[in-house]
Amino acid sequence: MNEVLVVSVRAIISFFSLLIFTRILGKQQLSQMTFFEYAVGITIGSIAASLTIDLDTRAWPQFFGMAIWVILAFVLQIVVMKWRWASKYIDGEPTVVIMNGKIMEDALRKTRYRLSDLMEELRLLGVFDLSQVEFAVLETRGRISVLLKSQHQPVTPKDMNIPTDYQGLSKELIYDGIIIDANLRHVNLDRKWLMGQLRKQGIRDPSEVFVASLDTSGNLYIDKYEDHIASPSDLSEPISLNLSMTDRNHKP
Amino acid sequence: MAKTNSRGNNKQFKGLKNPKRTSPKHHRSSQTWNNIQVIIGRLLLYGVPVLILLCFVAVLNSPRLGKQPKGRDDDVLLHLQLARESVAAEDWNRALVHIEEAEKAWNLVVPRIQIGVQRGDIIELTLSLARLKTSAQCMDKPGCLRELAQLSVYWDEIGK
Repeated sequence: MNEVLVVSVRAIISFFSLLIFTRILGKQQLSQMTFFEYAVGITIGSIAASLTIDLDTRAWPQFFGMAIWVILAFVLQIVVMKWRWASKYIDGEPTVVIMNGKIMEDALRKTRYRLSDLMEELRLLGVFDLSQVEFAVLETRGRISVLLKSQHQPVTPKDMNIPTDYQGLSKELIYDGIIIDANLRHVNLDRKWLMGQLRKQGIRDPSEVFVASLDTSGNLYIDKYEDHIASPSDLSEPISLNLSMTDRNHKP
Repeated sequence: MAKTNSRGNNKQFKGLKNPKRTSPKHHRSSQTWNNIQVIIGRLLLYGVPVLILLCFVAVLNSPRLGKQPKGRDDDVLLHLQLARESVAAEDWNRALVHIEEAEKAWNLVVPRIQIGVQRGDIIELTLSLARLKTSAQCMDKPGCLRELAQLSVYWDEIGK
């Protein structure tokens, strides 16, 4: 028995199975998962790892077990999506933790959410003063949603009666030097128009362009491979240098 | 208010001085081509993963097919049957020849089934064959029959 060969083949099988299965389960980010969904994800990953290296167990039952977990998670997703009562039972319900500017201590205790957690989440949302908060809701995914008191809410163009243009998604017309004809067709344009626009900016060939995108206002954004920036600013500057500069600035 | 483009399904990309003008015939053919592209895209999107998963299922269940003999050389069961007959007749030289042929057949089968079966099953069957050979060399009839019975069970169970 060639163990390296067997492990290699099993690794390929579990890797691509996991890829396909996770795509079936959707695009939820880690932060959007409930604890149960997180545990399901870990279990499925653990079965995939076992499928790869556990040669003392037949591969088929492990693959089948992984598929069953994925099917169950998928069915649960459908159930939660279709039936609100199931969603309430499985995912729980949002909890109001600040109401009319007052912290609901009982709600915090029931959800085992500490005041320091609440303050941290508020700070992450840019709220540093509790007195600005009208309502705060602890969502089922563990995040906090905040409604500020009306006097602390930012002004919008609508408040000022300022008319605004429609703003949609921009279309990439060139990506990595390659023209995307499908996107050009979608906006009723052709290569001739695009080449004309490129020539206006002194570009002779699309291969010089890293990305070109068209926004809904008709503005064409072009980024070339050659940026002509002599010394791009580097955020990974040594910390010690930063400290010394700070110290120097703070000298009396 | 949001405008729509010539297809009527999208927000307008404004400020374009040279929009592509197409004849109705050309527009129809390009729409058909777009529909074909969408269908092909969907087939690839769903068909390829399903095909890959089916391939994996086939590979993981390959031991069922892999242990079936392709000829006399890799027919483990046949050689074990012949060995059993020789042991019953106490024809030890002949029994040893059949056991060695069973070992060779087993060595041909292992690469075909190794992906899906347990490592322990392969080791167990190999060891059982080795014990059978030793029993035959010692002319131990009960030992040989015991190992042959075990081998028969192992063979039935492997890759199930």
